[in-house]
Parts: sequence; C-alpha cells; structure tokens
Amino acid sequence: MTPRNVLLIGNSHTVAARIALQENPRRWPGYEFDVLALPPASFPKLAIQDDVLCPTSEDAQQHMQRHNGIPDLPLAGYDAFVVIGDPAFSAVAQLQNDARSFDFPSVQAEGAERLVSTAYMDAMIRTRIANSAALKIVRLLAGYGRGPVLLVDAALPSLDSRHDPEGLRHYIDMVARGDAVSFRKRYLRILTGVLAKHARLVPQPASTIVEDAFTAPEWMRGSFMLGPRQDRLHEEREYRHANPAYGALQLDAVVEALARS
Amino acid sequence: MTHPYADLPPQAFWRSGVADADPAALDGIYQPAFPLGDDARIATAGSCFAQHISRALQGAGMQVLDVEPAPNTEAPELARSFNYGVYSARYGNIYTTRQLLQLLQDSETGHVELAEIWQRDGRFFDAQRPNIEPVGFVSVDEAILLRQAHLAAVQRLFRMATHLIFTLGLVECWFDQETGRVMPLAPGVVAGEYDPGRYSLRRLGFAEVLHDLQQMRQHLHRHNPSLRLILTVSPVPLTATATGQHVLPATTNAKAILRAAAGEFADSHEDVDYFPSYEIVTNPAARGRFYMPNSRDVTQQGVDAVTTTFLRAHGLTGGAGPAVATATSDDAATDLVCEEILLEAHRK
Repeated sequence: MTPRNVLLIGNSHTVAARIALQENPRRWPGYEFDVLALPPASFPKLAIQDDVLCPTSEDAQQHMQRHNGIPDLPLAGYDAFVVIGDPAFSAVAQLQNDARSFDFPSVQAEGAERLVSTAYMDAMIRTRIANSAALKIVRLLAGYGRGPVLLVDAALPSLDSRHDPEGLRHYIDMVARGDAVSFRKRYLRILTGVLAKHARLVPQPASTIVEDAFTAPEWMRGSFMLGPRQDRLHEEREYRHANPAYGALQLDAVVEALARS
Repeated sequence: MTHPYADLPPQAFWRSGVADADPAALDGIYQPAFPLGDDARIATAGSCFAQHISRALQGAGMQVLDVEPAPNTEAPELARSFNYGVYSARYGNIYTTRQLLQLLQDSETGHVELAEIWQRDGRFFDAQRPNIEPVGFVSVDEAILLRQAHLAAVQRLFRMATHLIFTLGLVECWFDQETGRVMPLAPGVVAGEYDPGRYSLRRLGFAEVLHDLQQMRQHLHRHNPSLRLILTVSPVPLTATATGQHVLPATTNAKAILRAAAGEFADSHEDVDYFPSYEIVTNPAARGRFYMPNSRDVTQQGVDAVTTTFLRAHGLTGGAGPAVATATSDDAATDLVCEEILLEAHRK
C-alpha cells in the first residue's frame, strides 16, 4: 500500500515545498504532508522517544518552537518520511577545491597542484555525506522503521550564479574546468551507496537542470527564507535555494517515488 | 692515589647509572650534540617507532614539517588511514638505510620504477610504500603520477628541513636482482607476485649501513649543507626474519649492526647525533616493563621514557613530566601505522 501520510523534514530547503503545499494543496490528492524545518545544527540533537521526535538540547528546543511552533512532534501518524536539503552537491564540491584525483578531466588534461588518490577522494566524499545533518536524520528515521525514508537532495545552484560567483567560486571554477559532470556522477554514485541501507534518493528533476551543473533560473528566482515569517524572499543574489514552483516539482517526485515503494 | 675512574660521574657506573636509577629518567643518558632551536624545521622518517618521536615533537610545539598534508582537516581519522600526517611526507615507514637512500636518489631524479607498481585484485600498490593507500590505486598511471608528486614533495622536504630525525629499524630488505633496488616488503605480502628467481633477501651488514648513511648525508647536503641528522635505533624487535635464523639472534644481529653503524657515523660527524631510544627501552633495569605482553611492542611508559628524555635534553618539556601522552597505556603500539606486522598477519 502506498504510504500517504508524509513528514517532510529538513533545513531551509524545505521552505519551497512548504509554500508549494500552501499555494496548491489539491495538487497531490490523497496525500497528507507535514513539514518540519530546522537549522542543520539541530538535526543531531533530535531523538525519537516513545514515537515522539524530541529536541534534546536547549537550542534545538528553541528552533523547534521558533520554526514550527511546536515543542516536539509525535510521529505515530506518519507512514513515510522525506528528508530535504542536504547534503547539497554544491557543498560537497568544496572538496575538489582543495585537491583533485587522477580521474578528474582537468587533471587528465593539465595535471593538478594538489593531487590525491581516487580512493581518497571517494572516501572524503563518502565521509562528508555520512557526516551531514541530513544523513543523521535519515539514519534516525530509518532506525525508527515506520515507513520508507526518501532523501531529496538540494537543487543545484542557479545558472545565475555563473555571472555572480561570489560564495560559489569553487563551484563555478569546477564547471569552468570541465569537472562538474563527472564529479556530480561520482557524488550521486557515492550518495546512493551511503543511503542504500537507509533510504532512497529522489534526484533533482532532469527538466530543471541546465548545462549539467545548474538549475534553470526560473526554478530558483523568488525563493523564500526559513524563519517564523514565511513571506520573506531571499535577496536576489541568493543562488542556492529554489522557489515554490520547484518545491511543487519536488513533491511530484516524492509522490512518484512513494507510489513505487 | 688516583685512577681514571675516580672522578667519573654517577652515569659512568652501572650501579648508579642503571641498576639504582629510574629507568624512565636516566640522568645524562643523552647530551645533544647540537640544539633543536625554536626555529628548527624537523623532518621525521624511519620505522614504526619513529611515529612516537614525531608526535612527541609536535606535542612539544616543535615545527615538524609535513609537505604532504591532508587536503582538509574535517576527517582526521580518514586522513590518517591514508597515511597523511604520519611522517613529514607520505613515504610510510622507512625501515632500512638503503630504502631511505633510494628515496633520496629518486627524489632528485624523479625516477619511478615500473616494476615497483604491484597489482592485487585489480588495484595497484606502490612497492616502496605498500600500505600508503589502504585499497591501492585505481591504475598504474595513478600510482605513477602520485609517486612522482610524492618524490617532488620529498625533494622539497629535505631542502627546507633543518634537522632530520631518522629511526633505523631493520637490516633485512628485499632485493630486486633486475633493477638492483630494494623494497621494504617482499612481493606477495601486500600485493605483487613473489618470483624467487628475481627477488632475494638482502641483509645489510655494518659496512653497508655505514656506507648508506654516508651516501644519505652527501645527498642531503648537496642541496641543504646545513641539515643536521639525529639517528636513533628502534627498540622494536623484528616481527619475522627470512634469514633462516631464529628471530631472536636475527633481531640482536640487526640492532647491533644498526646501533654500531649509527654510533660510528655520529661520532665521525659534528652534524650527526645519536639518540639512545634502543638503550632506554631495552634497559634491563626496566625489567621488561617497557614492553607489552607480546615482548615486542613498546608500552606507553616506554614511549614516554624515550620521548621525555629526548625533549628534556633539548629543553623542550620545561620539566613538566611526560610532554606527550598521546595514548593510554595499552594502545601506544596499536595506533601506529606499521606494515611489518603484515608479515605475521599473512602467515600460513
């Protein structure tokens, strides 16, 4: 039976889906979604006690209340769990800024200043993913064992960032060197492997990806911030968060994945 | 009436210098031939035991060079499992003088011997540092490229260092009759294939070790004439010997050769010092307490005795007791990176 009572849990990247649900609640008939949003630092401070998701630190308690208006969250009613927003490919791509391995196209073409082995690069990516806030909550929910767990990775940076790379310099440089496509394939292969025992990956909808490394700007412009108020737009130069239209696509993909589960 | 022994200090006599003395703090056992100043840039290399000395120096705030650091600091355990931060470069353990001499020569020429890229289960291993990559390289090309990068780093290291602390460990090595080169492990232990017609055991004698040390010094001084060398002998016995001898006399033979050659070499050069790690740990007055129950690995107490003696002699501890206690009393040896132990692990 397809699970229909779904908890979406994640960081600021949940905002797009949350607003999409508010704007168009009938788009996913038969599904009930709740969204729990917290800053990533709070994820390791969550525990499940007697079917209730509880914050275990003062900071996490404050975040739970501030961003969700509740002290804790009973889980008994949910039969599927969706973790959104982390580990983002753009963040993991920071690893290749410090060192690259032999299999990078740029290394094959020009060599590299800091060379590491392919195995070490793989291991660094695996460790970065495994230590991410999202994987901590994925493992917690998988261990709870009351329904499938899906991981929705954060959207690739907006194509707009290419003309304003501050803050994403490592990413733009990777694209310019011709390393982005192979590094993303590698990231997805390792992410899928790390998730294997715990969750399934819901990949970014292919129709939103341009030049193999960016999200088309129409899915990114007009994104909203995480906070008690839900109407605060990100500044124009924010290139990592998607807008509610993209959030709707994410939910479409989640529903499709749950139907297959 | 007087005689030559009448005015000697207590450490000149066995009873006062050893039998009645604290084995963890032997007075006067080491008087440095030259200082390790605050501005010293120290390179470390050698057999497994050298890792203790490297850590002690780092713990004392000395500048221990690392020319091949991990690219980031977010996963220190992972980095260590790939031999980042173990020594001043990623050469792994260097057990013999011949191995270090060869490395110095290779670092000057950039030479990579293709026959020293070994294969196992579709992965590739660098025979000169067979444990440096836990799962090997993905291809011969990658192994060669990373060895070339390593050799360039080694060249940089020995041109910028002010001191090299080298721990001599073994005299047994594996000799490739086709290339004339030696390897720290026999082919077939970690990877590669053992061909008895090509590879043979070589046991370096006193004259060879001394000659290697002389060649090493010449190499080092060619581009860095003020570099100073501190030699010490590892107190860790052989894991195994392939000489046909019992391992106990084989160990005694090896350590005697290394100790004698290091001493002779240090006595002959003002820029070379000898530090008695071997003597401190094997001191009979310690009644075996510096060795673990396997009678091979050194206890944390033994490591502290060695490192504290070294640091105090160089004025680096400020008399504040053991300068570095990086491990609990039981795990001094188990957190070392040590290929030699694989000989035991792969025993039939």
